[in-house]
Amino acid sequence: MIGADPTLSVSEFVAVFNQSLEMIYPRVGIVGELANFRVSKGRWVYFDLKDDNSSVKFFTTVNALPGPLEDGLTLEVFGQPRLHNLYGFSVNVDSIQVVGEGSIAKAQALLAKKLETEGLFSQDRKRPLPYPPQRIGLITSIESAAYADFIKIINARWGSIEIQLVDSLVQGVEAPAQLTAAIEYFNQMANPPEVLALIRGGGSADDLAAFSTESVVRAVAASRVPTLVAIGHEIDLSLAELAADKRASTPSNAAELMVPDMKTEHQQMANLKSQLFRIFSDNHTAKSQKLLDIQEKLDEILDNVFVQTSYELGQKRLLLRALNPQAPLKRGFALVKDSNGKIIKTVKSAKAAENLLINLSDGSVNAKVIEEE
Amino acid sequence: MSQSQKTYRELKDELDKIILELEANIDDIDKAIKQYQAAQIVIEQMEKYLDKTKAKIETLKPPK
Repeated sequence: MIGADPTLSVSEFVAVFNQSLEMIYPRVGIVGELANFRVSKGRWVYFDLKDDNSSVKFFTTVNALPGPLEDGLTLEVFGQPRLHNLYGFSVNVDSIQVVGEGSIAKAQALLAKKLETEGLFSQDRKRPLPYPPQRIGLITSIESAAYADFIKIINARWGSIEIQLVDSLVQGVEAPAQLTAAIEYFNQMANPPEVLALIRGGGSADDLAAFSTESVVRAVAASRVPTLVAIGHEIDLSLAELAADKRASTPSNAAELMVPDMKTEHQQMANLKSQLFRIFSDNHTAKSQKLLDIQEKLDEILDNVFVQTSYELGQKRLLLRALNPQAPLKRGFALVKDSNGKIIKTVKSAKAAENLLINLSDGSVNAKVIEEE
Repeated sequence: MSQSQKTYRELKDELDKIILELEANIDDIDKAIKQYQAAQIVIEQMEKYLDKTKAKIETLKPPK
C-alpha cells in the first residue's frame, strides 16, 4: 500500500537493510581503538573499534590481519557494513591498517617479536648479493624521488645494468598487497633478476608502515632472489629491512651498495697497477744487484783460480827448463856417443870406440880418437 | 786419448809424472831428452787450455 509504513519479515528486513547499506556504503573506512580482539578456532577474527562514545563490531579472518594485534591499538579498517541474520550488525573487513605513530610502533614490536622467534631476522639467513649484478628487479613507485635517485646513482656509478621495475604503491592500505605481489612476480620468473631492491623514500610512520606488515616481511624473507631493502631515512628501520639479505639506509645508499663506482674502480686499478709495477721494479732492482754481486764474486774467484793456476804452470815450466838435458850444450859442453849411440863418459870408452859422434848445441859432428892426452 | 782431449787435471798429473821420471833419469841422457820433449808438449797443451778457459771466462763477464 502506497504511503503506508512497510511491514517486513525479519529475513526481508535483513535483506532490504543490507541492500540499502550496500547502496549507501559499498565500502567504508572506520578509524578507532581496537577492543575485544579475539581469534576463534585459529581462523575467525572478531573485534570492536571504539571511540569515546561509540563501539562497532567487526568480523574477518586471520588472513586479513596486518600482523599481531592487541587491544588499544588504533586501526583504520575498510570493509562492508552488514546486518547478519543471526548475529546482528558488524563490518565485514577487507583490510586493516594500524595507524598513528604509537600504535604502529607497538604493532611493529609485536610483529618483530613474533618473526624474530621464527628466525626470519637471523644473520644465518643472509645471503651475499651479486656485486655488481647484471639485472636488478626494482620494486618502488615510479613517481617517487626514491626511484629517480636510485636510477640516477646506479647509472652514474656503473651503468649498463638492466633494471626491471615493478611499479607499486609504497604506502596506504593497498601497498602491502602490491608489494607482496611484486616480490612474488619476480620470484616466479623463469629467469629472475639476480637481486631485488625494495626502496622507498622518507615519510611518517604511517607512510612507511606497509614495509612492516607481516605479509611484506614474510615475502621478503621467503624470496629466493636475494633482497636489498631501503626504506625511509637513515633513522627509519622497517621489519622488511630486518628480513632482507641486506639493508641500506636510504634508496641512494641502496644504489651505492649494489654497484661499485666505476671511477673509483678505475682509480684503484691504476693505483694497484703502479703499486705492482713498483714492487716488481724494486724486486727486480734488488735481484739484479744481488746477481751482479754474485757475478763479481764469481769473477773474482775465477780470476784468483786462474792466476794461481797460471803461476803453478809457470813454476812447472821453470822446473822443466832446469831439467833440460840439452841445456849444458849451450854452455859449451858436448855429448859424445859411439857409433852405437852409447854415451861416452870415459877416455877408456872413447879409445875403445872407432868413431865418435859429438853433439854440440847447434848440431853434431863425427870424430876419431887420435891420441890420449 | 790425444793430448787435446785430456782435461787440465789429467795434463797436470801427466806433467808431474814426467818431471818425476826426468829427475830420476837425468843421467840417461837419451831418455831424458825424450821425456823433456814430451813434457814440453804437455806444457803447451796446458797453456792452450788456460788460454781457452781465460777467453771463455771473459765472454761470460757482463759488460762494465
